[in-house]
Amino acid sequence: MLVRDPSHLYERHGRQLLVTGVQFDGQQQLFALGAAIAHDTSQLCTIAAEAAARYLVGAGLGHLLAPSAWARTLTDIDPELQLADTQANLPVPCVHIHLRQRPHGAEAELAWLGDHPRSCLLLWHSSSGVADAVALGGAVAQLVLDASLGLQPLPAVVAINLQDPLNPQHSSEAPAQRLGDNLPDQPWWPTVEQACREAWPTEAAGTLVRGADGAVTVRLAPASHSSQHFVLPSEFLTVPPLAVWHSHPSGGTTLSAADAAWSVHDPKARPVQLVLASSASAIADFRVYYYSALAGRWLSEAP
Amino acid sequence: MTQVQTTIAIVGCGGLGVPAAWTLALAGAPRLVLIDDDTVEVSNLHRQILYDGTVLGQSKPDALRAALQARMATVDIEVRQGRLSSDTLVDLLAGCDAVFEGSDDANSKFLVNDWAVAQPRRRFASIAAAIGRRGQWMAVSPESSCYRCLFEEPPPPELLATCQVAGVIGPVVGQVGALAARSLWAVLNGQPDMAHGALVRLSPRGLLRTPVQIARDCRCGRGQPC
Repeated sequence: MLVRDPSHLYERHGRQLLVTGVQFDGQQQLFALGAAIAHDTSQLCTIAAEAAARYLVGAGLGHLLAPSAWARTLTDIDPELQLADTQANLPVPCVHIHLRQRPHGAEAELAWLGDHPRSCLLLWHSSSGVADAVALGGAVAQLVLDASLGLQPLPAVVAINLQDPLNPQHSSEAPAQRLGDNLPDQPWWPTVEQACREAWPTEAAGTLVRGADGAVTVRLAPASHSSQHFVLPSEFLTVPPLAVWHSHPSGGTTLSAADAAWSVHDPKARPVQLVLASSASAIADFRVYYYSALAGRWLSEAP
Repeated sequence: MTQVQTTIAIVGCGGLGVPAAWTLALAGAPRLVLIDDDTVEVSNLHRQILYDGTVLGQSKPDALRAALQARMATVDIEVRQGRLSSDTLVDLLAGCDAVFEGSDDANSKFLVNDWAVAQPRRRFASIAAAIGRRGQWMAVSPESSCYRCLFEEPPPPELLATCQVAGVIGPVVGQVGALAARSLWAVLNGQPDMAHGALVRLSPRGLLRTPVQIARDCRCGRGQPC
């Protein structure tokens, strides 16, 4: 289907049409596709969203939902842009992007993402400042374009740390390692349970490491690293752990966006997480999560 | 060098220069000098994202100044119309402490490099390029290795691929421009940066960056081999 006049297409998009993966068919595809960009109210995310939207509209994305004041100016870039006011007005399939600077409180978005395969939650590392907004906006736009053109799968969660050149590494092809069929019967379980009790009401965190003899040992993160949200010291990852575990004191076993982002973006981490719902006296519940690179999201295995 | 004293020139107000200027303004650069001799065309709009259909035909540095001041009124921005060459360099870069080089002219990149490493004044530059789905940049200072340590001389024009021939993706050139500007700002403020004396390449997948350390080895105008 020819969406736009070829003379308009070559004049406006000639530079882009030359690039492998776009070309004439890809450009026509972009004209027919849409994206929704949501962001939190931080200055970083607002400017990054604007930059991303301007790159997408410049590239010829046909439909956009961006409920921000700056969105009204986007038709000055491309008068043929269709600005949507609700998701129902967007074409299907459509890429959904959520930009957040702070991962806490993103559980609802992550749950929503689980049911929407063409959606992505982007989290900025805490070191990001407003000066990073344009670079991050470009990265967001590239994610959307690559997903729209079928060049790259859209990851469910991307955590971006511009201080780390290897970031974002949002998926891993390493096969998930199984922790065992009945975890409370494993020799290492009492150590983890005791650590959760002693740390309560703050989080306990650590890794499970398999030694040369095959035995699994527990490494505990220092308390200072787990008081608010678990961040493992880098030396914990010099040897790839069997799993990363942490507790949710008086909480559930849902993998939060922050949990997902940490383990996904760290290139040394193995894609297995054990989340423990702890009380003052015991582990009330637990769940193991495996990251599926093919599915592009975390999969959980019920205990 | 304190930020208050810093004047940064943007050489080339196109696909690289626009995100670079926006990034430097967001970072807090107090004074920018925008240098270009080109006007805004429809074919620019897919990657030069602060321009739109209302500024077609306008001078690029004028249009960029207006777009930046609409967003950040406090930034002091001067426009200098012209194209960097050995004849115009002294006038166009007068009073500047640092240069972001984002033009499509290889000679301009070498001129900026030599300007930055020349003694005795302490100056800085970030030199960026992007084509297709790839891009690279390098930040240079008098004490770092420089563009000539890697490339020695500008290549003959017939060997240069340009975005008119090879194409370019807007978000890619945007990331390169913004990240290269970020490197310049870091080096200016005495902070470590992976691009300082190293050529950093952006992965076609975006944001994944590979720094290639460059040994000091050239006759780049510092009077002796590096």
